[in-house]
Amino acid sequence: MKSAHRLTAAERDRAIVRLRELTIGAAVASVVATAGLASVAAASNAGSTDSSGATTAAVTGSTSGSSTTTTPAATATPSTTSSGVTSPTTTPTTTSGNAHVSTGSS
Amino acid sequence: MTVERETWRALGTGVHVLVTDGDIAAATAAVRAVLSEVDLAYSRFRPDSELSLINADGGRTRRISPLLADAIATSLRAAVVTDGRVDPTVGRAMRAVGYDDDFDRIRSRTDPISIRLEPIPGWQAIQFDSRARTLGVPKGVEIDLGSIGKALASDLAAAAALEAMGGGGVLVSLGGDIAMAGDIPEGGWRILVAEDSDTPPDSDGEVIALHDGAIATSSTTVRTWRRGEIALHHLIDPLTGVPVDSPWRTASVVAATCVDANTAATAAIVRGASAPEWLAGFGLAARLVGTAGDVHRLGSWPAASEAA
Repeated sequence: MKSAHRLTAAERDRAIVRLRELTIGAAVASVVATAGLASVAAASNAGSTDSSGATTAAVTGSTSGSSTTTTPAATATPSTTSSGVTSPTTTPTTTSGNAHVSTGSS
Repeated sequence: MTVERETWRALGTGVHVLVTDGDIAAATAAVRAVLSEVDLAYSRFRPDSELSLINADGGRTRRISPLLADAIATSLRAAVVTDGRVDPTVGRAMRAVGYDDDFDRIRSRTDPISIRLEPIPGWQAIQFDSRARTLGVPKGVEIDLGSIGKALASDLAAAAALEAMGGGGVLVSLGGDIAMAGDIPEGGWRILVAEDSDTPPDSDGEVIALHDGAIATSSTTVRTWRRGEIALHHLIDPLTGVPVDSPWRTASVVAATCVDANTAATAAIVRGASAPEWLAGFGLAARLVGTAGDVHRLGSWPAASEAA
């Protein structure tokens, strides 16, 4: 288990600067002066939790009639971990042709 | 391989189910069932959801449903692996900046808002026992599973759809958070990398092929609103409790699961300048868009290729 990140001085400064910017620039009715410090403290405290697993999917790669795609390269086998996020077994590749679907924020 | 699709809206966003050599009706039914369960378990905008009832009545420990327990565990893991940059206790901060209703209604409000900066309690405030399936949330703490909950829904829906079909392959996109399971079409699932998930997939832009895993995108350019003179968005910086001020406006990440992809994408924006180094530490393929529109491809993210 990886412990929570203890903030650096630079990160604390960034939080404080952001608070000041908003205090000046926004219509702030009530600023809790200790907000930044309290959240910094909360983020600085170590804690623990349970973890969930990661999954993998089938691997394939080829060239189709409607699009061209480079052959995917195998990478390290993914593993379940609570201390990091995992990559898939193959890397994304370049392709041409219309997409099936769009990623983006919603 | 033929690809069939169904599209509809649920959980306030677009849902796309694509099937290759499978029963689209069975897949769609399975996805709808998962999304219905998700809505009931942890929607923040449904007052009778299990999570809303807990948020409204904090201060005691209670037994929760398996699905909510899964979501809570997932969100806490995200908090751990991101050093608290993705934190489920931002619920109250989200309401404080006006994100307290269906987004169409939020966008229609333009009157000035009084922002009250409040401490983010931090994920350590949550008492969760995964074996006993109990959750304790202190009074005043509100959980918002946000995009992590959406990504988990994509992972669960893709798995459920494949099981319902009994074979073939399926891709589920829930607001641009994309999970896949089973067989892959020739050449892979082709994904248009956009900032807004509502961008039509045949639009001009960068297209990549995925052969397994998942992809998710976080952005400060979508779900934005104004209150008076203040421009706001939905990505809260746990350090300040207000929308993050990041050098990145959009982050797309490929990972083994949609949860991991979403976790990394959201954390990248919140981390700011240190995001490339952090993503490299996990060996992730990522694409960051700076506030000026500059594109940075990291790790094994492929070189640019434009859609036909």
